[in-house]
Amino acid sequence: MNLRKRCNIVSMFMLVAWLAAAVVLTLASPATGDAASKPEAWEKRQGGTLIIGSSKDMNTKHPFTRVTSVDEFIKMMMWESITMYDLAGNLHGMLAESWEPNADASEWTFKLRRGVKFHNGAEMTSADWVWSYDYILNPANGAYANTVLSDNIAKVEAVDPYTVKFTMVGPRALFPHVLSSIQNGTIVPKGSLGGKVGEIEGNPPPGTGPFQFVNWTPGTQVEFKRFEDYWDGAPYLEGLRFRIITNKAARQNALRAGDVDMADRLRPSFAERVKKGRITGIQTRAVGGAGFRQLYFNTKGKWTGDKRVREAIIISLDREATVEEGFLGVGDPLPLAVPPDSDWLRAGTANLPSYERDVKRARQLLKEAGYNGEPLSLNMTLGQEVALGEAIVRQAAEAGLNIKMAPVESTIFYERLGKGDFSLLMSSGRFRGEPGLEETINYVCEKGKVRRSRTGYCNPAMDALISSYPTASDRAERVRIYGKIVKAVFADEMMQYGIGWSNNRNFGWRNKVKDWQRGPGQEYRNALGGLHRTWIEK
Amino acid sequence: MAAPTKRMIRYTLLRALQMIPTVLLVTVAVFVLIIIIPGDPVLSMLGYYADDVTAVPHEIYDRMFRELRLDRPIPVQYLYWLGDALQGDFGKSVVFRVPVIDVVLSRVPATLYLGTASLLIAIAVSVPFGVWAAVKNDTWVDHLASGFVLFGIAVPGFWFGMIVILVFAIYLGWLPSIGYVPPQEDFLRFLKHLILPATVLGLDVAANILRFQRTDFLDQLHQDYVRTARAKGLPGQLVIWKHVLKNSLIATVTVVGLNTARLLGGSTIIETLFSYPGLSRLLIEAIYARDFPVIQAVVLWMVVLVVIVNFFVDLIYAYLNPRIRYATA
Repeated sequence: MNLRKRCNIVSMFMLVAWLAAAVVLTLASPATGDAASKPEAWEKRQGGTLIIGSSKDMNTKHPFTRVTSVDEFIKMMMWESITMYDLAGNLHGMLAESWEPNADASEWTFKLRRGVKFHNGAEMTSADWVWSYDYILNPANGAYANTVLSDNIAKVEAVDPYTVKFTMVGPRALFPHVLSSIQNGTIVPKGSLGGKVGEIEGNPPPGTGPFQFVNWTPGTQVEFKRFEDYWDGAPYLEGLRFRIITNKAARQNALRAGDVDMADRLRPSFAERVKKGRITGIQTRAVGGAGFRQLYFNTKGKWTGDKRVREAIIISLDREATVEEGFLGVGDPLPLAVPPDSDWLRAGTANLPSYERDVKRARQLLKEAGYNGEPLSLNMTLGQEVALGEAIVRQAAEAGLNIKMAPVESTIFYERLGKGDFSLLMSSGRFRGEPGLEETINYVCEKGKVRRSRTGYCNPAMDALISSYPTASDRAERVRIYGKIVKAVFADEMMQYGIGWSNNRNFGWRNKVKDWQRGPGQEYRNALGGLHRTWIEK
Repeated sequence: MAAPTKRMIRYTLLRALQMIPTVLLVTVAVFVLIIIIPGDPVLSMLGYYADDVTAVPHEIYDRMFRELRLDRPIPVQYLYWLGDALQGDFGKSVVFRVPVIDVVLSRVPATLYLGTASLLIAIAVSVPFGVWAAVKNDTWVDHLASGFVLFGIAVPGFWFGMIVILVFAIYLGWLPSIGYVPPQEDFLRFLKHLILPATVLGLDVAANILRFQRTDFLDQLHQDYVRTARAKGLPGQLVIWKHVLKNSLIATVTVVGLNTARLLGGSTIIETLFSYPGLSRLLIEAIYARDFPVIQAVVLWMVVLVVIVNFFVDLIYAYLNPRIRYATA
């Protein structure tokens, strides 16, 4: 074979290979752009409006007001955070592609994700980042995240259109974790907010999320439509509608009747019936770590100010029995709001006594403290498990403690908390990768604007210990500090008592809903999946 | 103008004038009630928890405090509020940060449809059935009516609601279990969404009305004028529907009046069960969230409605029993 022939054959092979590669690449490319360029699989799956029976409503149309659980989960459809956790608790970049600290983490440089578009079609650049963070950091704008972010950020500046540098107020090794919630770091187009504090006229400012806002009828429903130019590929679902159904039974009925395709916070008994096949056409999934329940003691309280009384309360309770009774058998008894079998738990419990139930010793401690059955109030919100409160009251009563359960709606709960008008407080907790960050509001007495201590406890040594946590770059070092915090809070001062994780919240969806992934908590998405990858079987 | 007509006009005007001080007194009560309920509207408006008071920048807090006119004496606050309310301005919802009037008006049509449909069902069932039961006293018809009344009064609405949802929405799949569709959007779906909640509410009210209707009708049947009418040779149906029914309606109108107000503002449980976006559900949610402006607006709406319904009930009384308007005049 002469050289020319060989060259022709090689050229032909190269052409065929090139064509094959082009076909493969086209099929494998993300589902973006116009419909014609979308792969067949996308075309088969796309379409339909997913209706979700939501236990709560979105609170406001403002991206920078305080968010509450479900409110945040709904807003995460249109606004996105800088970083986000996956189901395993690993942090991923969302609006940021990468980030880099300087040597002592007093400066952080973020590379923006390229090709991210706002719902108004404009491309997201560093100018939008700087404007959004300046907006939050200006106290006159009343942004809720001002308290947290001004404790982290001193200055934000654009290095180039796709790079932003944050100068911190000091070393902040966990800054990317702080930016994992939309409250602390969503980006809106430059100049898109103004006017009065917390108020929005008309539609909310454009976000970058997979769905864009259509309308909101407060207390009734929130509607979104697919954002075709979403940076991670257009969602399969054409629309998304959150129907606000506050009543659990009504949500369950709506799901069974097919009036909604998905619903949150369903009863364990409902999930059990689905599991046993008594209800068909539906799938359910318990939310691991739906919420941790714990007790805080008011260290300034008349009786709970005495450490002996606090200890008596702790040893009057049987954690296993409390969880069994309070969570109706679907909970994990644990002393700390961290995952079971984690190094956080091992470090935390290393120096923590087991506090076995000892009614006799509890009575002795109460006698020494001079306590004689005076009422102690247990401040809790209406949404929390009354059965759990009843279990605590009953067990403590066996040791001579007179705890009065006071379930109130959240405004009064927080008002009493602010005034220190309680003996015990039942509170929720959740794990978001870095448990040491969660302790700040509970025990730091005075640190910049983060000023409160739920228990009334005030100790500069504790402030210093907790403040050292976010400055530690090394995870092992943070685990060690967390262990110290736990020892100080739970063992030395006995200000807190962990009950356990309640796994009594369930998502349910009809069989036609495919490929949905929840978030690490009860979110509708995580860093790697969620409603934007969900589709409805025709 | 004939004397009875004059008396009726005078009676109507008098009753209308009496509504004004009633409504004013209620506005004072609503305003004061909101002031004494715990909770800081400034913090709520700013989106902070009540234990966050030290976290809010002072200038922001003070500015909002002044904007809400909380720095003024309470009587002045009331006058401002009343003046604004008369112009339809109830301020902004603390929770949703949108004008209260928009939130309330978005719920009014659904409430009116549900209330009206329930009332129509209630009257359509109770009045003929009550008359029939009284005429057929102590027969199976009467026993059936008594059973219906017993069931309607004894069985809680939410339980009955759950049962109809199970049967008609889940097992049979004929009707939706939740929600509301505006009639202008899709009239058939509007009706489908209305049937279950309206029936549950309507039958509950029907039991109440039927009880009074039957007793009163029975009472009237034994009156001398009925015996006289029959002795004169009037047809039985004419005696029943023209003479007895009109005289037996006084108590029925009272019960219908009371229940109308309830249907238009007090159907919280049914609205919650059917996730129906009515005013009662809005009120409960606003109370939980300490959304003061919404609470004020909804309570005021309900009170005004009760006053108006009572006004019409009084007019119907006067029509049914002329002695009432003569006594007042």
